[in-house]
Amino acid sequence: MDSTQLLKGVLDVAVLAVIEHEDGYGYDIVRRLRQAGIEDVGDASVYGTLRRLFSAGALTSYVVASGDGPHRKYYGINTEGKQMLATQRKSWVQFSSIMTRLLEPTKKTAHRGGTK
Amino acid sequence: MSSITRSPNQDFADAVRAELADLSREEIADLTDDLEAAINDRLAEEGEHFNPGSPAEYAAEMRAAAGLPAPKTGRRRVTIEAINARSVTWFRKRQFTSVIFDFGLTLRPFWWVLRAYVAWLLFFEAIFFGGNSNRLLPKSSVEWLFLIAIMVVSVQLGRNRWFTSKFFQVAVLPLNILALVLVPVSIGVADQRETEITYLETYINELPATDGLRINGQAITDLKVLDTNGQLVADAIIQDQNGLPVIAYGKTDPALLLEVPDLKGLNLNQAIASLNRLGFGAVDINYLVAIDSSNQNAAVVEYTTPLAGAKIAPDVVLTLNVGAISR
Repeated sequence: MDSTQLLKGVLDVAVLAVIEHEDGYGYDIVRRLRQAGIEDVGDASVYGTLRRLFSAGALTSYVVASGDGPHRKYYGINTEGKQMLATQRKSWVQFSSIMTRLLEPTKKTAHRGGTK
Repeated sequence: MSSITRSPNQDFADAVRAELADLSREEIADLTDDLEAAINDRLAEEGEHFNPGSPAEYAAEMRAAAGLPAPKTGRRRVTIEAINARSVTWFRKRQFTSVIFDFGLTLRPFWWVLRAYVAWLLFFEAIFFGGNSNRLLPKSSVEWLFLIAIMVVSVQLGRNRWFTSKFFQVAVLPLNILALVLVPVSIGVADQRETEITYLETYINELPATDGLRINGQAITDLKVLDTNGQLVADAIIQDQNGLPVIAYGKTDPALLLEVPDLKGLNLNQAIASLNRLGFGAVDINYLVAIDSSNQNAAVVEYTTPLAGAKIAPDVVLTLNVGAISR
């Protein structure tokens, strides 16, 4: 399955997770996601997600001037964002364990086969 | 450090913004405020393998992730940004055109200066001097300041430092095209001015160095002084406000006229020596009788033309009429 399709549904929570403990600017967040293993994430998707989370009130934003380069827009998580992250983390844990159970056919198939 | 020229990254970012042009300014700013910085970061990491892809796809991905509506389908509004974006995309599609595009980008500062000069030249041609300003370069410090000011504005506009409002950004493409069209016109004007200047210089150089009275460019070749009875006053001298003689064109200042001496009876050598001493420049000899060339001393001046006592300019030919000494 194309992991980029899967990612679309969870990019919000992934972005919230990587800035939970440390604020970051756009490309820095892309880098953290890639380092975490989500290598196919598109930077345009991340910038769009950041904008949406910011509009939804989950993030704070501030500009940091750079001495010898362009300024950077930093994003940080706020209380609402933390609540959102907690909710989505819980949902993901439940959902992923369901999916894990669902997608572990070998034991069940063997068991079911054994009962017949 | 900010570069004088726009980088391909800036063009890509602008092209992405153009694709988002249907959104509000705040939305575009939120999405793309530090897009250049982000692209620079990617470029630094990926080096020569860096390929940002198509601005349209990039914008679409950004828009979808942000939960913003896709642009309205149907006929897309033709905006300056869209034209710019599509041009950039077209150039970037192929290596060859991309090289041309980068070369053009390098020449942008030259263009900013050139278009300012074109504006300056045509402004003076068209407005100040009714189509004939007779100038290729400023003629006064004020004009220099004016030209420099136009150039500064043009460069700052090119660098996106001044006049960054939407209005000017939209106006800049048609103005650039206009300036481009006017470049050949300016070259024509400049060429014409050059020809005129050369012609005037030649004309001035070819003017005779002789003093002389001119009115409205026409030489006054004779001056007559009449008394109250209308009679010609001979030998009258006309002076200007400085006491200097006013002379007709081609005439000689009376003070410089030489009086022809009486040379009658002098032999040829003596007569010529005398004339040279007095400053006569041109002497001709007219033999009235055949003279043996081995005996020049036998030749004596009978009379001069003009006759002795006449006043002539030093460059007027004085003829010595020579006879043989009577034995």
